[in-house]
Amino acid sequence: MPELLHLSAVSLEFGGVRALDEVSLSVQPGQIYGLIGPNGAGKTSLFNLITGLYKPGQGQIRFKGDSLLGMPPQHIAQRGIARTFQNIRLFAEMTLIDNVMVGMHTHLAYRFWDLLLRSRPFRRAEQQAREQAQTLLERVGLAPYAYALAGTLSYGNQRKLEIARALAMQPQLLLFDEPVAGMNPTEKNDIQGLIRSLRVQHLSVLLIEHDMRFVMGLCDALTVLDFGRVIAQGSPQEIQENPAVIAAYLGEEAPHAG
Amino acid sequence: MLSMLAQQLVNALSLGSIYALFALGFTLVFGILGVINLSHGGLFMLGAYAALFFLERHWPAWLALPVAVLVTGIIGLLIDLLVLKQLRRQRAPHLMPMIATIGATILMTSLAQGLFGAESRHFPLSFFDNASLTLGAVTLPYAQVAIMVIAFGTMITMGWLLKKTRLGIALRAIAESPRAAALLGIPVERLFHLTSFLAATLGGIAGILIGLSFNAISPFMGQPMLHKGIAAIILGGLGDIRGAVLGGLFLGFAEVLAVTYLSSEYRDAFSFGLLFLVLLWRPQGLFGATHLRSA
Repeated sequence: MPELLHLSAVSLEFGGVRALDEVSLSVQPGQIYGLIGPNGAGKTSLFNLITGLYKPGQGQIRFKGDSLLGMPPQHIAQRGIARTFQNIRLFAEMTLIDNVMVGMHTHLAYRFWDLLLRSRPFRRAEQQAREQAQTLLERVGLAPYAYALAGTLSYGNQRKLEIARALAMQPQLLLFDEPVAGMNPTEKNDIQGLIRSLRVQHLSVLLIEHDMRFVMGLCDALTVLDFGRVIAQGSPQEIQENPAVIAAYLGEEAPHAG
Repeated sequence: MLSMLAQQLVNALSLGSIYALFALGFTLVFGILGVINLSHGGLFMLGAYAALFFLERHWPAWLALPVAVLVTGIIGLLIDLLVLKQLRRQRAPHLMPMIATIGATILMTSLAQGLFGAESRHFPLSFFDNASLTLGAVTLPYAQVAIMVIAFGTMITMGWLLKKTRLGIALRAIAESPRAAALLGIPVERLFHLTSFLAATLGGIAGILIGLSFNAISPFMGQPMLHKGIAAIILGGLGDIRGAVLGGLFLGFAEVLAVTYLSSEYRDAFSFGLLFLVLLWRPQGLFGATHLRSA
């Protein structure tokens, strides 16, 4: 089985400033892959490139062997890449269950005609979608609030809802941008357990996170970015012993295993 | 006296339901596409003339009217594909769609005038003279019953679609953030097309119902209706579905009461004066601040 996601020598410039400089990395099927680095290293920019929000100046991005370059965001999402955001982007004035069901739009199993006639396939598909959404909310521990408005949730719960919504897309690759920011240790453990359980389903995860204990305990492989460049790649063990990484993190908390 | 009031309230409800239907289509486009589509009045007129066209060819009403609605929807879709989509692609500033859709309206009005003449016409339908339903002191012509059933039935269906179905959920998601919706795999452009189609059919139905209601249609009927539509959605709170419906009903009641207790010359002055007073009291509209997403 080839790589699921492959980036080769991807560069991105903003008005002459190199936000990303020849970044290459590969995510294998079933792998939990971490992307770390100081603030402003270009981690979120990389996510924006993969999901089609930015276009790279140079380089190649392949998913399941096909190039994603020039593809609009919704097509990339439909191909099986789902993401959550550093600055949460929920539909605040919709209920939790509606938020999750938005993620299922790509898997509509009926036609507009069925909808107008309220035909059997339509009603069955709607019913199944609602049940699936409820199951996903249970999985992230939000089932009791299914019919509350998303805007009323606490910060940590909003992150969980974003994860549920991303899972609703039935992706093969999930991009999590700081999934446990603002969560307490218990919640962090829950999310760690949830992400591990995705591996059992053969989903791959690419995640950005500043909490080193969380990252080192969870990831199979890591890439460290600094000023848009890859300064190290390898297992958590290798990364923690890498002198370049330690240097980049001087002045910040040095990475250490939990 | 009381029976006259009851009769007028029924008239107000039937007129208001048509305004509400028109305003619903108008606000749908604003809420989802984020543009003020000033061709909605033109589509309203077009719906009525499409119905006239098929009825004059002796199509039965049950076939002519739905086909006319479908034709209006397709023209609405074409306006989206040929005009609005091009402007979206070029990220044109907000005034551009307004100007472009005024152009589309002028085109439709001229075409109707050229093909059918400038004078007012009426549908060749016999049920206007037909019997009516008497409920106590209130007389309900069958045409009026049909108008209310169609108008409220259509609005309830739209409400159900937006609130309960995944398609509606996706539309509300786009209304809140097209960018986030796209990242979730929602085909935003396609749903823009669908919205334009649906909104145009609502406009077309409203046009046919007004034609039935007054037994008169004219190539210039779109402009005053557009003003009423704008008034209704501003009154209800821009982009709010319930607000548009209630705004439309409010306008219907204001007009009928003005005609009944003042004089028909003061109809529009009274209803728009009332609108002005409401806006002084609530500048954000009756349901301001909540939007399409809380359909």
